[in-house]
Amino acid sequence: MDLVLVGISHRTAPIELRERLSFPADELAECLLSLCEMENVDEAVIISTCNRTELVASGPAGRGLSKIVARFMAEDRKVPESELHPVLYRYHSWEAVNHLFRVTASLDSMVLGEPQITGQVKEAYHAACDAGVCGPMLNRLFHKTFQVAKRVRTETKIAENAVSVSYAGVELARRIFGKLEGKEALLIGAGEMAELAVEHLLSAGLAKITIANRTHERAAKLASRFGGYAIGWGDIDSELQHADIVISSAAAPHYVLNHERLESVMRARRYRPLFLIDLGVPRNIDPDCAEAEGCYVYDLDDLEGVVEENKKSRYAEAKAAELIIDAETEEFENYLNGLRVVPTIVSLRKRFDEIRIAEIDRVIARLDGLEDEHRERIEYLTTALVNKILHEPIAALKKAEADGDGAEVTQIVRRLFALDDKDVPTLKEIKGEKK
Amino acid sequence: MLYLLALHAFLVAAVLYITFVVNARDGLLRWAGWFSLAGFALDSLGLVDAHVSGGSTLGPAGMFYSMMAWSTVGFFHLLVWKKKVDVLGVIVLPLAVLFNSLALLSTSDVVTPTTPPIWVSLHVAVTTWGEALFALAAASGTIYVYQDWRLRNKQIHGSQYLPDLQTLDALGLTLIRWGFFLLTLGVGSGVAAALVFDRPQLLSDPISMVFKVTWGLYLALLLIRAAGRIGGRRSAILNIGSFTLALVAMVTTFLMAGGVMHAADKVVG
Repeated sequence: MDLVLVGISHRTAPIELRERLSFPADELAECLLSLCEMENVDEAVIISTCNRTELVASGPAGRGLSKIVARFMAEDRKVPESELHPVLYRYHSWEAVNHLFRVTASLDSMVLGEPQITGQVKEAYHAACDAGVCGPMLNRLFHKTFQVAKRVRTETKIAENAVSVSYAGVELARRIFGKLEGKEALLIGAGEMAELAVEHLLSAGLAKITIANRTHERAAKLASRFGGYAIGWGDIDSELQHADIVISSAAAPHYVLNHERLESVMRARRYRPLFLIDLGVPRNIDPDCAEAEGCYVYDLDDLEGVVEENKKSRYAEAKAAELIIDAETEEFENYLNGLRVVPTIVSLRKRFDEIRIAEIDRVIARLDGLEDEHRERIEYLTTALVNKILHEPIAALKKAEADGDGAEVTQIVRRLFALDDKDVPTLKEIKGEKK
Repeated sequence: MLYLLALHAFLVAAVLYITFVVNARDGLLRWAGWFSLAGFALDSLGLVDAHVSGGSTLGPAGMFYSMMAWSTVGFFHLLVWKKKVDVLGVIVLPLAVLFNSLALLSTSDVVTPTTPPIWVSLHVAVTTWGEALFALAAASGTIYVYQDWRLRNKQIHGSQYLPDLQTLDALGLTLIRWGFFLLTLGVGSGVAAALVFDRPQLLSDPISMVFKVTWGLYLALLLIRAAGRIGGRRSAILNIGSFTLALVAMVTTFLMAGGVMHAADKVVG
C-alpha cells in the first residue's frame, strides 16, 4: 500500500500559479471522483486553500502513484506539467504523514499557528467522505491528523498571542478590561489600520463606536459603516469621558491629546482606565499621557514590538510542536510499515487456499457418494491444517517488519512461494467483490 | 504536628506558585493548588483537634495566626473556584507560610483552653475572617500593581496568566467591602462585650486597639475610593499599604502584649 501527498504551497509557488491550481469547492466532489477513477488510485482527499493545493492519495505500492496524481493535477487544472513540476513537491509514506500533520497543526502556514487551516483540512476530508473516496487508510490518517493538531494546540502555546498590529490592540484591551462587551471606543481620525482595529474590536463585542474626524462627512460615512456615531472635532473631550478605548490615527502635525488635557479628562472620569492606541504617524498622543493615572498609551512601535515578541514566542513553541509531530509520525509510520506485509500475507493465504481447494476437488472426485457432513469435515480439517502451517510464517513476517527486515523477508517469502504482485487485490477490487 | 505538616504543604505550594510566575506551566498551578488544599485540610484538622481536646499549646497569638492562615487559604480557594484567580496564590501562600510559622513560634508548654463561650468564638471568627479578606484584597492589589507595571512598560509577553486590571480592581474592592463588614461586626461585638460585661479596660486592650485602627484605615480607604479621588493603581497601593501596616501592628502588638484570646479570657474571667 502506498501513501502519497503531492502539492504546491505559498512556499513553492507564486499566487498566480496557486490560483490556477486551486480546486473550487463546487467542483471538488467531481474532481475527487475523477482522481479515484484513475488507475491505482484507491482513496483521495484534495486540500485546496488560498495558500496551498495538496492531493493526498493511497493505492497499491510500486505503481507510480505520485506520478499519476501529479499528472491528474496538471491535466485537471490545465497547467502544463513543465510549469507544474518545478514547484511541485511529492511526499511518500511517512514524509507525507509528517507533512500533513505539520500543515494541519499550522506549522507550515504563512502565519504560524493560525487556526483556519485545521478547519480547512477538516472540510477537505469531509468533502472526500461525502464523495465516497475515503477508505480505511485515509480515514485513519485524517482522524490521526486532527488528533495531532488538537494535541499541538493544547500542549503548546503556538496559537496564543496576536500576530497582527490591529489584533494586538484587542489583546491589550482585554488585559485591561477583560471582556470587551459593553465597552465604548472613540476613533479619532480614520486611517486604514485604525479601521481594521475597530473591526476587530467590534467583533470582540464592543458596544459603541464614536468617530471624530476633521471632515464631518468622512466621520459620518465611517459611522454608518460601523453602526456608530459621528461627532465634531470639538466634542472629543466630552466623548473621552465615556470612552474606554481611544484609537487615534489623525493626520495631524502636532499632538491631538496632551498630558494636561488628559489629566483633566481622567479626573472627570474618576480615573476609570482608558486605553489609548496611537496609530498616527507622526504620533497623535503625547507619550507623557502614559503618566496619567489610569491611562495606557500604545503607539505603532509599541504594538509592533508586542507582535514581534508574540511571533518569537510562537516560533519557540513551534519547536515543541515539531517534537510532538515527529513522535506521532513515527507511530503512524509503524502502522504503515505493518501494512506493507499485508499484501504478502493476503497473497500467501490466497495461494494456500487455492492449493487446498484444488486438492479437495481432486480427492472428492474420486470418492463417490460422499455425504455432505463428511465433505464439511474435510473442509474443516484442511482449513485448520493450512492455518496451522501458515501461522508461523505470518508471525515471522510481522516480526521481521517490526524489526526493520520486512522488505528482505517479504522478498524471500514471495520468491519461495512464487507469489506475484498481480495476486494482491487492490481496494477497488475488494470493493468490487463486495458489490 | 498537624500545624507543622500544614506549614510544609503551604511552603511547597508557595514555591510552586512562585515558580509558576517565572514559568507559566499549567501543571505547576495544578500541583500548587493541591498542596495548598492539603495544607488547608491539615490546618483544619489542627483547629478541630484543638477544640475537641479543649486546649492547644499554640497560645492565644498562635491560635489567631493559625486561624488567619486557615481563613486566608480557605477564602482563596473559594475565590479560585468562583473567579479563576489562581495567580493570587503567589501572595496568599507565602502569607499562609508566614502565619503558620508565627503560630508555631508562639508554641509554649502551657495549654491554652480553646473552649470559650460561643459569642467569643464568633467575635474572634468574624475579626479573623475580616483580616483574612483584607489579606486577599492586598494580594489582589499586588497583582494589580504588577499587571499595571507590565502594561505601562509594554511588557506584555508571558503574562497571559495574569487577570485583567478591571477584574483585579473589582475583586479588591469587593474583598475590602466584605472584610470591612466583618471587621465592623468583630470590633462592634468586642465593644458590646466590654460594655455588657463591664470591663472598660478591654476597650483599650492593645490588640483590640490595633483592630480599631485597621477598621479606621479601611474606612478611610473606602471613603476615598467612593469619592472617586483615586484610580485603580493608587487604590491598590493604598490597599497593600493598609494591610502591611495592619499586619505589622498586629504582629508587634502580639509580641509586646497578649492577644485577643487573652483579652477574651479576661472577659470570661
